Amino acid sequence: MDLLEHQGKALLRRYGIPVPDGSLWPERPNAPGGYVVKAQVAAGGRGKAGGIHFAEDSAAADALARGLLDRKIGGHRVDAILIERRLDIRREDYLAVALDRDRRCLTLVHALGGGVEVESLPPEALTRVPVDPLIRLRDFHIARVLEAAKVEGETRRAYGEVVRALYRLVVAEDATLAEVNPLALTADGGVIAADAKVTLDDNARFRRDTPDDGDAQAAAASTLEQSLRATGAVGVEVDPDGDVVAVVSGAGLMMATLDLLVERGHKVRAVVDLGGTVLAGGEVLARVFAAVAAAGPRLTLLNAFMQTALCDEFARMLVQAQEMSPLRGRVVIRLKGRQADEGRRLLVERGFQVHEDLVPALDGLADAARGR
Amino acid sequence: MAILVDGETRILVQGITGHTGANLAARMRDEGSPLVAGVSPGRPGGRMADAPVFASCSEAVAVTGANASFVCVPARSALDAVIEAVAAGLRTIVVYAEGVPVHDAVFMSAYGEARGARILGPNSAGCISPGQANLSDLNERLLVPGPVGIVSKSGTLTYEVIAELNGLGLGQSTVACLGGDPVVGTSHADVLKMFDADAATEAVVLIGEIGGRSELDAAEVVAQMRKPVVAYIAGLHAPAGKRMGHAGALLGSADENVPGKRAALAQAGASVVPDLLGIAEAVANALTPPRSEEARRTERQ
Repeated sequence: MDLLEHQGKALLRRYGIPVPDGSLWPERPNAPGGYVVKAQVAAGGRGKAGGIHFAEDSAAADALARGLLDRKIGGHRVDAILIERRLDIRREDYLAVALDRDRRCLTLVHALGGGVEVESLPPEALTRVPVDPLIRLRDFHIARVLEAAKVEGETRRAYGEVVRALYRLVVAEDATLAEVNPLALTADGGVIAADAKVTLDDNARFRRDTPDDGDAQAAAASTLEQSLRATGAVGVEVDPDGDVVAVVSGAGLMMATLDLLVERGHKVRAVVDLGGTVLAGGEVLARVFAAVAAAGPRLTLLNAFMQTALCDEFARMLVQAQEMSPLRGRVVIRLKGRQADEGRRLLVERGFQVHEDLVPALDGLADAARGR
Repeated sequence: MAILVDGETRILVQGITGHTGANLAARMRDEGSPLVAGVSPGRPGGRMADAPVFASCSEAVAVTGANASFVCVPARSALDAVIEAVAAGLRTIVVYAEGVPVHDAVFMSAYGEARGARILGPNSAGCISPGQANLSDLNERLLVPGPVGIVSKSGTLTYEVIAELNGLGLGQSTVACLGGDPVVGTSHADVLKMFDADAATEAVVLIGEIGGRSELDAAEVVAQMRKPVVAYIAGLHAPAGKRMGHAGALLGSADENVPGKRAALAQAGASVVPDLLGIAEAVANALTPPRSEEARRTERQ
């Protein structure tokens, strides 16, 4: 789950990281030195897209906020605006604690000159300090960041505390990313998080006390994806103009099936990974069918190769689901695995087009696409 | 021989009194896989699938000599279960649960590595050496012993490849499923090194997918290997920004997509096939000894 900037900053503040005085419009902080007006959308490059503005006084800030409200920035509608006290910034850095999935550890990432997308920086501009999860963050890790940051005295102490707190936040909140870009060094010696991008691990919801509101990723999911998620299956919208939906018995096979269909010239509307729902019974499968049927595909391919679940039980579920909530258009089924002979017999009896192997099923789908 | 699990393997199922654990244990028994113990902290005593059920891994190891564990507990309990298994001295550990917090996966991987345990997963279907030991949710009846090693993230995709290989008379030495999560204990590269050193394996099938660098790191190993590698990468047509059923299958930087991984593997000398259905044939070609110059000349005459 990606937090919006103001949610991320609230979290940073809880861990003792300085953030600018700010509040959600129409509230405003007291800021004699001027304001920053920031659209709260989970999109990169907000500044370039017109989502960040500066105002000299409160009237100008209000006017800018009113102008931003309900506008689309980077494809997202603006329904919250953060008004902050403008900082007197002397230098901007990039600082993040990020999960490195391939090295299997958290990594401190630092660059001089933040404020730009980190991907646009040359690799040698980045200092990466991997942190062994068995020893956790130690002073020597922080020292490497502070050397790269070239800071001294009181600023060095404050900078080090920010690094320490950011790591603590990532571990305690089960975040996979906490990115401060820019980290501002101000004229009065402050080290302040001028932006915040925090991604929380959805799998760790059960041990987090932070409420899960405003999940930008979930909000961005399509209707089809949302209605499938409610069944326990995973739907992926591919091409809104497509006319084929593939319902598949596993994630890896789902990806491979999508590749096969597109390479054979089909326009794929969506693919569905049934996952654990292959064991959940006909009523749950009927809800999957209802979600698929609502997308109105002309052709549906059901591709199941199962070794844990039993194919004949699955066939019975399928028959029940089709009675409760029929798939419309042409349906081609591929069923292989444990007790699949009996499963295919049951389905053929009900008039389904069924194949044991993938190639004949794909050929059958191609024929159906040509109206044969 | 084989890798990860073999004739020396003695299997323990953690969470054996749960629904999934009980089913898998029963299947292991029916297949004749070397199941020696179960662990259930809440319900010790008695037997499941003919195996004694213990309260802890250390007790199970002490009594039965178990050396491999199939961890069949809910995602939120997986970290504690794996730490217990590693601490008890189990050497090969499969983490079956999907939805394990990623920080837990990071910690269990690091702890396992430090203590010399091999962890597959989380979200792994496990590993199997047909005819020797089945530490996976794959049905052993699908497999035939033979010379081909398979390493894949996905379980369901391996079924397809195994069936195609069987169709050409090509059996399997070991099938290793790494798991579809972003952080998993074992990478493609780790398994390739084991296959290259394994006397029973003559060729390797590498199945990868979009997201992460596991297949790119594997390419560096492929370049050093003596055995042929056939590679397939799923997700060529995956839309940007969407997780493709596996939490880790998400388009990232350009080299983490299908063309990037294909190019790296091909450059390292792997035979890269564009489509799932071409894998078995490519393996058959790789295993056919190239005809000598003399034989070809004779043929032409």
